[in-house]
Amino acid sequence: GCAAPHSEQLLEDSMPKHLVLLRDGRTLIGYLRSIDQFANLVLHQTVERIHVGKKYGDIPRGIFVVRGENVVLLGEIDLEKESDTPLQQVSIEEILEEQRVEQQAKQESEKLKVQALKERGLSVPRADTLDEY
Amino acid sequence: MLFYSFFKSLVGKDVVVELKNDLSICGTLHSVDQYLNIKLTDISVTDPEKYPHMLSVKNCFIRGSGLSLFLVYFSGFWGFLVGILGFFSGFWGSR
Repeated sequence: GCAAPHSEQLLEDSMPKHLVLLRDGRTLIGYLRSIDQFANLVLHQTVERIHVGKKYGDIPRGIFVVRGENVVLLGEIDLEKESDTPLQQVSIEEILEEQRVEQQAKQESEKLKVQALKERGLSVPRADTLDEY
Repeated sequence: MLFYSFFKSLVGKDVVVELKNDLSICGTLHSVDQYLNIKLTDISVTDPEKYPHMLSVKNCFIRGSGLSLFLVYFSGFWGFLVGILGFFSGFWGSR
């Protein structure tokens, strides 16, 4: 038969939560179910956390399978440290709006920078391509 | 193989690593593998908390492909010697 929901909750209270930083800048938080030599990951009850300034919002994402090449960092969350965070949790709508505003400001300054470099005959190389071993 | 041996000799030392996404992390080197993936313990983000998501993380695994810089502080004469010897022992060991 299947496990009672209560026992699954008990199991996950003692399981450490993990934080994953992806190459595209996203932050995922969830229970790590498996990891292999390539750092491919399976995350359970995953939440995508968006940070803007001192605010953050969590978007529930369910089960994630992450290909290892996209992983930058995998951290173990200390549940005690997590409870005394100076950060303020807000609703998903609010954090998405804050993120949109922040992205817009970044794009504006990036555009100015690229234009300034172009005027001087320089170009910025793209830094997101992966160099294999 | 060369740098893998060098980093193995640095296990236990405090290091600062800079990732390709410009995040800098300070911590104690716990282990390293052939891909130069590393595990750090007791980490702290060195730059002002521009990266608040790391506040509740004490230990982490960092994929080697994400590292751009690896800083080790060798203080004093003996520290310098340890660093040089570690590097050359790695070199000779890989021959």
